Amino acid sequence: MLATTVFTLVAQSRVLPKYRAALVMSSMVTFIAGYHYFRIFNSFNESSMKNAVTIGTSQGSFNEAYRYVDWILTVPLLLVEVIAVLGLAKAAANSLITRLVPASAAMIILGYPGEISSANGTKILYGILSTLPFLYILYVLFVELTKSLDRQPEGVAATIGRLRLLLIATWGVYPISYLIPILVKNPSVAQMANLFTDRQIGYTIADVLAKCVFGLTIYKIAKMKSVAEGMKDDH
Amino acid sequence: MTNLRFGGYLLVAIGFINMRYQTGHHNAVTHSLSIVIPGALLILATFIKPTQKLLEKRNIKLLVGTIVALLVIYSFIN
Repeated sequence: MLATTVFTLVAQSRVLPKYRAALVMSSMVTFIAGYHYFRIFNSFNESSMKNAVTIGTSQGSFNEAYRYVDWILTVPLLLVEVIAVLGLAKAAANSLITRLVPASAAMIILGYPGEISSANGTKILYGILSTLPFLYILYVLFVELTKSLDRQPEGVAATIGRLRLLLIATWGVYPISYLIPILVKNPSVAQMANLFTDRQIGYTIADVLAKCVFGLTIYKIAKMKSVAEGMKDDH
Repeated sequence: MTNLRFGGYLLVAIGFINMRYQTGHHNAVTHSLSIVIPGALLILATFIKPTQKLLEKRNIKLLVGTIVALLVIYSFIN
């Protein structure tokens, strides 16, 4: 995460000034996520004792719902990155941002009650509710955004198409990880420990893909557009 | 101006993460608010015209950048 932060900051001179805001946003996203993982390790350390981890919300416990603090701060920025790198007209960009940012915030807020609940019914209910804004985000990205792709340079539209698929693939890992605890009925203590570990691994892989790979794709698009608009490609 | 606004957002974000992970620790709120409040003030300053002009000066930009960097370091060690 932090290596991607450094890369996207250093690579700013390789794109035109109008695309640098997208790279700064990308570096912020990966830095915030990197800092969050630093604190997750702290929390994991504090809550581990004798090969066991205490999970909960009290002091000294590992509270995985804290991931939602990270997500609510970074996920809306990921979507703003996409709009920023496209260099759309101000009115079109504002229209997309005012729809995507609240939808992404709603998606995360609605997932939180399900995450902290131990009841399967509550988990499924909030899982479904948070899927609704996710579907709306997909609609905006695949239907509304497509209208602006005609004016993009050659190759950019295809890369944006891949970026959208990357977004579906990586964001698809989150609900799978979210639902891991309800996949096994009446789990034993050992199974619960494994389910907990699986969920952490799932969320971590999804975070790396959704933030680092996504950010690097944003860089690629910014670079392609800069070259198409006359910037010398000497890097 | 946009970069300073992002700097402010960054401080607010890591300040809140800092607070969540230190809940129950001694002076956790004070430690975290010392990161969140400067970040919030910086964001606010980038939207007010008189402070915008002030922030456009090279020396002020350098000073603000240094403060942001120091607060980021503080967020790792507190």
